Amino acid sequence: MPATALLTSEQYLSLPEEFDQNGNRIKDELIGGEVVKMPPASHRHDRIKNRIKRLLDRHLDRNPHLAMESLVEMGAEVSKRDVFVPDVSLVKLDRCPEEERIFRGAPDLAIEVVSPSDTIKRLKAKVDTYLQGGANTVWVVFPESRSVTVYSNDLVRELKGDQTIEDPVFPGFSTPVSAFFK
Amino acid sequence: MPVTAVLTSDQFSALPDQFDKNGNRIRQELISGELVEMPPSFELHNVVKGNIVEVLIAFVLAHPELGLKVISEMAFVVTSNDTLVPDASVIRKTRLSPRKQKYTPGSPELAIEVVSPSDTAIHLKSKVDIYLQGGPKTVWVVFPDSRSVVIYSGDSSRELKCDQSIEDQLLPDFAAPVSRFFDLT
Repeated sequence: MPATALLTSEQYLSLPEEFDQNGNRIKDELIGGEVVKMPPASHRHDRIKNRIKRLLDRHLDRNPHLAMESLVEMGAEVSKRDVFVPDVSLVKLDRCPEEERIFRGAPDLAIEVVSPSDTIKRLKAKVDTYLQGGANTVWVVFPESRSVTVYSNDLVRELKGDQTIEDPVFPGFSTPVSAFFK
Repeated sequence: MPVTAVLTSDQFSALPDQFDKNGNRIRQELISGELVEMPPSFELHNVVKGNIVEVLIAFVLAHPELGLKVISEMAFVVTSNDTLVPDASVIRKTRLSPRKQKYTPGSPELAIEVVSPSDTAIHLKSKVDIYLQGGPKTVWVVFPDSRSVVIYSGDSSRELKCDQSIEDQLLPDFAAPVSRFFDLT
């Protein structure tokens, strides 16, 4: 690991954007003060992310009284040393930033779809930081094993196949985990 | 990810040892038929592993009636495509046959994986799933950075931190505060 200075989220957010040789913006996150590049996601990763977003939105459309919104890859300043880009997040409407490009604090529900390059150490750090930052729940989605690990405080639950995923932060939502991977 | 042929555990077992340019043996595991290198572990990883092994050995020596043995870095042929090397394992002595078998068949009763910076989430997840397929087993995944242990057993899992006590049905009356694992003094 190279010895680089750790950044604050403020320093990180003031960095100019970087672009690769094809002019695509290089996506990264700040994890514990360290800038971590996010390699382009696979098609499967995107498909699962979009499917989850659709399932959440369907429930939101039917239940406007929940007053929540789903966001895709919305940057969140989770702590003074952490700026994450959850694949999908669910936040209360009154917390949604209209003008800002960054969401302050942890989303109420953060969803991360695991990529082959994700190390368990960084993934665990993100889960811990989301929960410490006020997230109620984090869903970690494993495309390979078609399972979801649900983290909330000290509870870790793994769901597979026809097991239904529900969340206190999202009342009424209930879907078999397999629906994420169809 | 490069497309490589999927190996069986038998093929893996028959591979000649490989060495790096310094003459050190390159350690590997077979995860779902894929060869995965195990880079040399950091000091933090080794100290934490040492702490855990010390606690477990003290326990099994004090309880010989359980017939258990604590072993570091032993290869287990868990399936025909998975040969895994947990950092530490607790296994029933009756399953050992060191003069007859090269690697131990099946999952250990308790597999302990100390997370390294290079471990990918997907490989670790696969390993936990594979260990648990082999019957009523337990896996401890140990996170040196967050000083926590996630315990997987059957369909349930929970995370323990700080002074929470780690226990296991395989080890009756065993109890150690999780913080003991992370004592670096």
